[in-house]
Amino acid sequence: MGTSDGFVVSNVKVVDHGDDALRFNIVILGDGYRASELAKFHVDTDSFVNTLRATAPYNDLWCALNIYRVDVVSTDSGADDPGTCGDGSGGSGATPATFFDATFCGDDNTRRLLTCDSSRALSTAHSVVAHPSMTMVIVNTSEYGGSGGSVATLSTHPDAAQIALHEMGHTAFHFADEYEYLQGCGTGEAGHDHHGGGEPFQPNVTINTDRNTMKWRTLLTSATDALPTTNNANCSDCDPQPDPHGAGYVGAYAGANTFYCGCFRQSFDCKMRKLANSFCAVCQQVIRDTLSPFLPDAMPILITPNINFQNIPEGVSGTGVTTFRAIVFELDACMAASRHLHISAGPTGGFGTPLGTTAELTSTGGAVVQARIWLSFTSGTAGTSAHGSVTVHCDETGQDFVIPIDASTVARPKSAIALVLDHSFSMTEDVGDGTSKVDKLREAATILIGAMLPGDGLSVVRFDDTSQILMPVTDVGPVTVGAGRLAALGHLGSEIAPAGDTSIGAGVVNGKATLDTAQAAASPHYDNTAMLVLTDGVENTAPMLIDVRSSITASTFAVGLGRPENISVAALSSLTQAHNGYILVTGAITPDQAARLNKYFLQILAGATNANVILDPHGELTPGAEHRIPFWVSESDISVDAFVLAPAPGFIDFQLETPGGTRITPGSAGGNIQFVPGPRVSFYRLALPALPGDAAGSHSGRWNIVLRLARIRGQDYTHVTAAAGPGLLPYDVVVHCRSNLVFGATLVQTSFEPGAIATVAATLREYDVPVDGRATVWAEITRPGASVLSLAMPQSEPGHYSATFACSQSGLYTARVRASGTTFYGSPFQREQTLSAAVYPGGGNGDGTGGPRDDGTGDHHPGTTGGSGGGGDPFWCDIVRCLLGGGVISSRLIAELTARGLDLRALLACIEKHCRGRGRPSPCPKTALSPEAVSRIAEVIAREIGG
Amino acid sequence: MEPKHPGDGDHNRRPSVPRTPHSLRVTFGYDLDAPKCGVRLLCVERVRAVAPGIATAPPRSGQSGAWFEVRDAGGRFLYYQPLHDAMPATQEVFADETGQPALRRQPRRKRTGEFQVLVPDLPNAASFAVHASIPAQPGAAAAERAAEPVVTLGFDELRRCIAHG
Repeated sequence: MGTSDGFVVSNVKVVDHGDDALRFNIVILGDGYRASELAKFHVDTDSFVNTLRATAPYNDLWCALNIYRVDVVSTDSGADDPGTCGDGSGGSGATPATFFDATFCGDDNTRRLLTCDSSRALSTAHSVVAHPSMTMVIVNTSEYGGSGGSVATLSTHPDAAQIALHEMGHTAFHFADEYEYLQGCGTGEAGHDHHGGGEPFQPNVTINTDRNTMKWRTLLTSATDALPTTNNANCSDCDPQPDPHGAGYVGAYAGANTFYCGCFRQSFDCKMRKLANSFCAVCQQVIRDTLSPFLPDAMPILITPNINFQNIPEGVSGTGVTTFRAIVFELDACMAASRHLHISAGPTGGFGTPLGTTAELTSTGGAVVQARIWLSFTSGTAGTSAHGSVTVHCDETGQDFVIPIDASTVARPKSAIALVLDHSFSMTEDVGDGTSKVDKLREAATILIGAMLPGDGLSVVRFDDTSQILMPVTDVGPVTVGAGRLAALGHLGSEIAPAGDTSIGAGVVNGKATLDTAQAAASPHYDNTAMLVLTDGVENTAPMLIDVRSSITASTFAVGLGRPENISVAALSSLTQAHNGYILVTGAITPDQAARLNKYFLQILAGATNANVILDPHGELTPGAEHRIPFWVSESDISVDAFVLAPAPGFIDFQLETPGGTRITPGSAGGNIQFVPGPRVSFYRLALPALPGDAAGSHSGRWNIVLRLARIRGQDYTHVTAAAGPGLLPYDVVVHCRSNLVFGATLVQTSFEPGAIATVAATLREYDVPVDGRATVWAEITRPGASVLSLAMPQSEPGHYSATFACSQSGLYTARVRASGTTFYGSPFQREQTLSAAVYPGGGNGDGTGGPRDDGTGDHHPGTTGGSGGGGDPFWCDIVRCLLGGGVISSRLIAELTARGLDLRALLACIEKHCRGRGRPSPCPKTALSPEAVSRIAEVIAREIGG
Repeated sequence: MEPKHPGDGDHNRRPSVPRTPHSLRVTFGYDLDAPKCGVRLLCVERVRAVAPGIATAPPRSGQSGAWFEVRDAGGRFLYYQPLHDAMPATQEVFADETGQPALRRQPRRKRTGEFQVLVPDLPNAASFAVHASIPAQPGAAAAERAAEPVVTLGFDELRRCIAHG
């Protein structure tokens, strides 16, 4: 018998809530399990553990417990079962050899008393954990039985677990028995009639029924019910009266601690009186109090040991950029917990706490939660730095977190932009609203130049069938009067008068050249370089885009002015998508969309300078009306530009209303506010917070643009009609921001033929962290014919959103991609970006060639989805292209042909369609044509016109 | 007669116990047939374990049952815990047969044994004591009698008894 009858195999921490020194450790040993029965022991242990966890209040205190299962192999199975016992019962007489010598009739008198060698059990438990709080032995027998004491023993009988829970109440929590007898009711036992003596020290029985002093006075169910709740009329036996109250009533019931009278228990029945019952309220409270030191601390963890505001740029217009960083705390609580944090010292060093000095970590248990206290830093001049610290205190745990803060200011990121502008002859055409394309281009370029930030560089490049750099990259200088701006505007006059054919590639080559030259010379380098290519046509003169695109390093954006089928959409898409940009196509511009090109230019300016578009609506003002256009600014935003585009913005009373309700007018300019009026656009430029004296009310929150027609020196509104033309005064609002919350959108097509699938994708990042689950993104797709599709863009991975739509109709699809959500701190934000898709017969496969390609070997290859052509005579196609693109046909001839009724645009489209299958033109010899060639050209032209 | 202590005046206030894993496990032997149950110190071990929380009001003179207590030099309670049946004269037995009480107690034949207590090793602990209700004569019921000190030690004595090796 004993240790020779088995061995300890191993132990497993089946419930692990951390360091044993800090937890209430229960060790469960097995006895009477052979090696082949250890799996059953595991099941039996799990069964007990589940019972324990389901028993209140252990369910709420589970995190206080560690439980070890110790696998012990016995030679034999089961427990000793003596053939005779003092209570007269008979057993099997089995004497299996087991490690802990478990036996029924452990006192030789009571069959159900299942005991074991408690010394050996304790010794084994101590070998597992330094201090076992409770040691239990599960004996491999299904007969009902168990015992208490320093070790609780239980069989695998389904009800035996309750014995262990009752005994644990004695051993671990020092509960007295709540039954009123020693040996049983009706036994006539002597010496248990009246308790007498002193107040028992055990927490769950009392001789005191004074509601003001009794030990469970705070848990009494009634403040007025008489106490004691029951009295026993016969103190020589158990009280037969039923419970006068329902279950759960806490009072003072006569009969407890093995005495019929003079000692009271808290409730009628409790697990300490009857095994099948729950622990009553008083016992539960004692268990909670006893185990409370074993509960994990739920200590806040500092995730950001230091805060860095490194390399924050100088602000716009001499106003510092205010940036936010969060001190982040985490709480990994096993159970429900709240931790209150507050700044107890600092921040020193000039750092701010713009959003409060407190935070709360609230966990419902089991999941990691975070809380933030935000700090702010306003940049100074480049090269300066700041240092300080802040101390955060946790009320519950007493922790103090000292967090160093460092900051430095660098020069504002500078951008260089090359405007690569088409001035081919077709730019003379009406754009659709009675304005020529070139004039529309002048207007849009003027607005873009006016909106550029001081210190940014601008170049102007023109192209028709050749290209010239009109102005190398030049600092635009101050708003309105900057020399660079004025010089650029000077190049938008006669120097971009329409003439010649279209070599987009030549313009791109010069755009790249001027940017490369500027970047090489700049010190410090430009942070962003970008090219904006505007064209209204199909490239028909070398160099072609496909041949030059690989050399581009700048971000590249394109605007197609006109219908997509008349523009090299595929080639430009391929060019821009490969260089961090996108293409926008205006389509035919109707009078109600007169500002479309202007808005596209502004959006691209935002993209080129890493700004974001907050909103972009259109409206029409009527006399007397006040339009309020709300938009959200968050604490992540650094500055805001609010534009109003209109035929006569000077006639619009244009104000901003801050979240705090303050009106900002042109007269408010100064400090963080700049107002720039102009002939086609007026705008406010705000460094945030706009009003430093009201920082909280002029940064994060809902802003309003407030517009109404202005009365000018007592005139009525006829002055508006005179300026803007008959009817209402249309306007467009565009709001940009520079922000730590960055939105970007792209659109790619499977082809440019009808039936193509377009994929719209968007990304949202805040402080370079994906905005995960805090935003809704969608696209409003305006199809050819003006029907609108609302397209949800679900999040595919953190911060990434996408959706697809079919381009089944030929024409232009305009996608307004929008996002709204909340920042880290919970402030609303909104973003949007417009993109274009276009499909048309013969649109090509999207590889940028618009059809077949030439691999340079001299062979022609068909495109994957083909064009509509392919049957043209290669010789004549080359010849005609050469004539049209080689400077052989003068602008004057073209003008004369147009005057005589030859629609050159239609002719060019026809030739392109006819020759699309013929690839790139052959090099064009600069020699005069023979009479025969001229005759054949005339035939071709006549045939095309006739067709 | 239990001496009066300054801490006795504020009976319901439980002491605030620092949560320390530095504890002493103290083992006592007993003999129910000896005077004052023959309680004697057997062993003191230093263990890394947090002591259980206090769930009752401080002990008072005249109370019955058993407990141990730690006081500072001024007699104020630093820690205490009840001891239920630390030196049992009876044993709880169980039954599931009809007509039998599910729970009852039988006299226990074994009259000697050991019990352990876990005591936080508090820096300002000055004294340690075990109180217990002692039967009037061996074999008599003891539960309702006023408890009396059966062990009283200076806390440093406990520390000096810490087992080595």
